[in-house]
Amino acid sequence: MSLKHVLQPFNAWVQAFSKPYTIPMKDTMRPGADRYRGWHINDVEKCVGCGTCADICQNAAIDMVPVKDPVKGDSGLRPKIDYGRCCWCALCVDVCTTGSLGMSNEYTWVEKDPEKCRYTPGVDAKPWDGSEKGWRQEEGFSLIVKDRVPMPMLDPKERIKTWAEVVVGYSVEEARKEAARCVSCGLCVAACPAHMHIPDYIGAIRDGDFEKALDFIYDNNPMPEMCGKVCTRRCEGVCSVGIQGEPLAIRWLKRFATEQFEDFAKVLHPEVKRVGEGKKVAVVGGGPSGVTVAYYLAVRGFEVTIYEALPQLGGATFFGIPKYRFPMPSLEKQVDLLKKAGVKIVTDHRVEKDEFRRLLEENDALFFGTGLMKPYKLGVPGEDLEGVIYALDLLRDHHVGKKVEVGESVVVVGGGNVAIDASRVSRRLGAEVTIAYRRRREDMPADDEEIEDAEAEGIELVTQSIPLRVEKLENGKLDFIWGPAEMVPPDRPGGRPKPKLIEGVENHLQVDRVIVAIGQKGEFEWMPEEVAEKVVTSRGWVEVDETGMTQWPGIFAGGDLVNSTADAISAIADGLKAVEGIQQFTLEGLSVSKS
Amino acid sequence: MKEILKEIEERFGPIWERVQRPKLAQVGIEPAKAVPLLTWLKEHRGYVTLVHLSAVDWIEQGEFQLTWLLGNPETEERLMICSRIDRENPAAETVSGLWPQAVTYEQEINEMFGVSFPGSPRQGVPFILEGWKDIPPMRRDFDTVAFVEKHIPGREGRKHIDTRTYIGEKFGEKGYLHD
Amino acid sequence: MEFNSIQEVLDFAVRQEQKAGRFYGLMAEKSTDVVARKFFREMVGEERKHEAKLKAIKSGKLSGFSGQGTPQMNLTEVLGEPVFREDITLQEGLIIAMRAEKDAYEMYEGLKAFARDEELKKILEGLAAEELEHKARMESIYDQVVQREN
Ligand SMILES: Cc1cc2nc3c(=O)[nH]c(=O)nc-3n(C[C@H](O)[C@H](O)[C@H](O)COP(=O)(O)OP(=O)(O)OC[C@H]3O[C@@H](n4cnc5c(N)ncnc54)[C@H](O)[C@@H]3O)c2cc1C
Ligand code: SF4
Ligand code: SF4
Repeated sequence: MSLKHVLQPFNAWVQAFSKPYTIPMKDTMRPGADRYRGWHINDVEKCVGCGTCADICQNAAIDMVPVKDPVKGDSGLRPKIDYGRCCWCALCVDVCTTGSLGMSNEYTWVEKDPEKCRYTPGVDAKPWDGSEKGWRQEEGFSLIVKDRVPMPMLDPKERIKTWAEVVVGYSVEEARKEAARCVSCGLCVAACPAHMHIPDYIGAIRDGDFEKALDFIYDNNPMPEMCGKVCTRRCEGVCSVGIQGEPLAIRWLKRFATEQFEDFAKVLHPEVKRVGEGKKVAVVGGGPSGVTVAYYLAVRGFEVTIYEALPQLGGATFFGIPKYRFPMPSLEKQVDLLKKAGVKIVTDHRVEKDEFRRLLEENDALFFGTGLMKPYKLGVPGEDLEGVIYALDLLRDHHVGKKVEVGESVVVVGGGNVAIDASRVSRRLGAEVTIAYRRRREDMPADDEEIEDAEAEGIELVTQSIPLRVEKLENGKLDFIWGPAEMVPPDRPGGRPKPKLIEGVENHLQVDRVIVAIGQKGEFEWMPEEVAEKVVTSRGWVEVDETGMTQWPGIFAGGDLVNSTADAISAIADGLKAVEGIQQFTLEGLSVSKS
Repeated sequence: MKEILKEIEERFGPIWERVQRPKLAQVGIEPAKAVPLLTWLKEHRGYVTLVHLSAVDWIEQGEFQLTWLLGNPETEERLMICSRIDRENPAAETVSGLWPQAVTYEQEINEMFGVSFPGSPRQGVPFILEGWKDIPPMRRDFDTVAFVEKHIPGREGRKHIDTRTYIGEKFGEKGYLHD
Repeated sequence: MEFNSIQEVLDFAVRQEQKAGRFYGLMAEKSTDVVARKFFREMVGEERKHEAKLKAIKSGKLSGFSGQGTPQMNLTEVLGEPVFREDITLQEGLIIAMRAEKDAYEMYEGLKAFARDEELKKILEGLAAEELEHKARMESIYDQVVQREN
């Protein structure tokens, strides 16, 4: 050790009395520039926890950490930043899907404990929270591709002359380009009732591996070509890319993947244990829920027979949804796979009470997904007049090949998919069409795009209109009389606002047909009384437990009869639940509710 | 800016160009003609300042793009001269004879992208990376995250949750075709 | 009709609820449609609850009516007047129930004119409001079940 080293402490003391070489911090403190990249801030109410910031960070400085329970549209995770690694490049800010993440222009922070220099912006309070200055996403600049690849469609003027499919479909290039917009956050998976593997099949499409995409898709949806064309796409509603831009075209991508193959059986190779060998299951009703139960039980070795009253499987997606949205060859492809999986299909066969009792005895379990096959009536005077018809009947007659006529002009009452479909079918049959809906446009249960498509085809929408009565005119036409409505708030949070008639005003519409599409209900005349008494509720629905089983042990149910959302993908989700329930019930002899 | 672009076109043959702002234009030219063009701009058209020299890795196309940003202090106009070179054994002519400060830029690009400028004085001399053994770090096939994970320790006890997997678990995502 | 005391009014109201209960019970027995049958049975239970509430008020266990103020939709006014048939549907059953609540409301409103004093008038007003609330609730169920897509 040299003398210098020995004297060092003393030197330091000496320095203490002389003018310091360093400049006192307070004299040089100056604010960072307006767009300085300083400590992060995050508007955690806006952030959805997509994790894209963590994915892009080239320094692996970001961890996604749980700050609240996950819900649809928000993972409940938030980015926590390790400032031992961050280089303040701001890539995370620039890529943020919601624009919630930013950087303040604060850049000084003295802290003895390095652990403190790892915090969750917006959750762990910091002095620079709410800072107006610093780095933000620039207007018009984004690392996220905000615009969707447009879907080619037939021209409205041309398409009303035919029954041809309106949506043309993506080309390979278009599909891969659209798929490349996905950030793989998986928020969509939470929103999809069947929890399809969405980011995975989109990723496979992006990579050009369409077989792999189909494998992911069929893993929990046995009617994906149908869903690819008509799904209510709850997934797109929560897509993180859709927050600042247009959501991924998830539905169209699924459609694209399924359209790449003529014969699904050649591509799909299920690898599941055939645990159900020797067990028999009967499925009543060939709608999406029944098809789901039949297919996934069949690949597990169960002996499944599906009974359907109509000439083709598909349920409402066959007899209800028009062919310009979901053409027959698409449906047939999916039914074909069912056959190849070994499902016995009995069509044109309505199960009645006695047969149901017999099926119950002959099978190890029974599933029914008989849907909402009957329309609710208008409930107003004049509804029994000739010319007042039901959308459900019109569509079904048309789709099983019966001749239907609607005259020159119709009014369709209702705002759901059924109403829109009946309108567009009537339009193609040559009629002038008006839709009368009780609430506002934004309350319509029908898909937004469907409403737009209908309007493009020249269909008129009259909202906040309450049917009062129907009268027969001397010229043979019907007088549809309606009154205007004002909206009153819903009586429970999250409910629909309610239309209230403004009394004293009457409007008239002269039409050839009044087509009723206000709602549908289940029909139980075929069901043995003892079963109906046990499983049907006072609202006309069927209650099941978390395994999909009704109050009657061994009888399972699903689909529109059971769930409150009444769409195809929810029916499929119910089917998946019942697959597990039936497997448990038949193999272990118990259900969750009993154990 | 239109005139100068027209003149460049006439003298140096096919180029692509774009006027970005009233006083800023971009010119793309084949590598062999880049330095003759730069020289001419400096000697005869008042673009005496080399503001910047940068590189971009266009890995998909197998190219690097070099951009010389020149300034004309008199007219306050700026020109970006861009040129794409092959990504295999990338090399470009040095402009250190025209602008001495180019030595530093060329040294930096040499280190960060592995583009060499034969004849430029400090090629191969470390710029900011001492003892670098990996591929040049600004190349897009350099795995920054892997490098960071290996060489820069994160704080202890860090735990990242992958959103995609987390949601699948929390919402009961299941498959039915594979066990 | 004339009421001399609050007790009398409440006794009358209790009898009304009992009558309604019997009426629903009868319909439940006769209906062939399983859904309608279950609905009428549910209504029997509802009327019992109303009856119990009135009795609680009468005995002083409950201080008064407490409507939730469910917004009126004026649906009852628009819909037709179904009558009971054995194969009556839930939809018609709901309309009948809505109408019954409306009739009860109008009855108590009408009776107000015969009230001797303010106390009596107030209790009749309370009963009327209660029936109006029931009507709104029935309308709300109708709206949710029957008009899901309208
Ligand atoms: C016109 C219309 C348009 C629609 N549009 C869309 C849309 O765009 N997107 C969307 O997601 N959903 C749409 N839906 C809803 C969707 O089709 C349904 O949610 C779905 O089909 C319900 O499936 P499910 O399994 O309950 O059976 P359902 O599809 O309701 O089918 C029930 C089947 O059971 C059969 N059946 C009934 N009783 C018996 C018996 N005793 N014996 C044998 N068979 C019997 C019936 O014939 C029928 O085929 C639409 C529905 C309609 C009517
Ligand atoms: S600023 Fe850059 S280094 Fe820092 S967390 Fe964001 S992406 Fe990572
Ligand atoms: S990218 Fe934005 S929205 Fe997504 S988790 Fe990060 S901060 Fe939140």
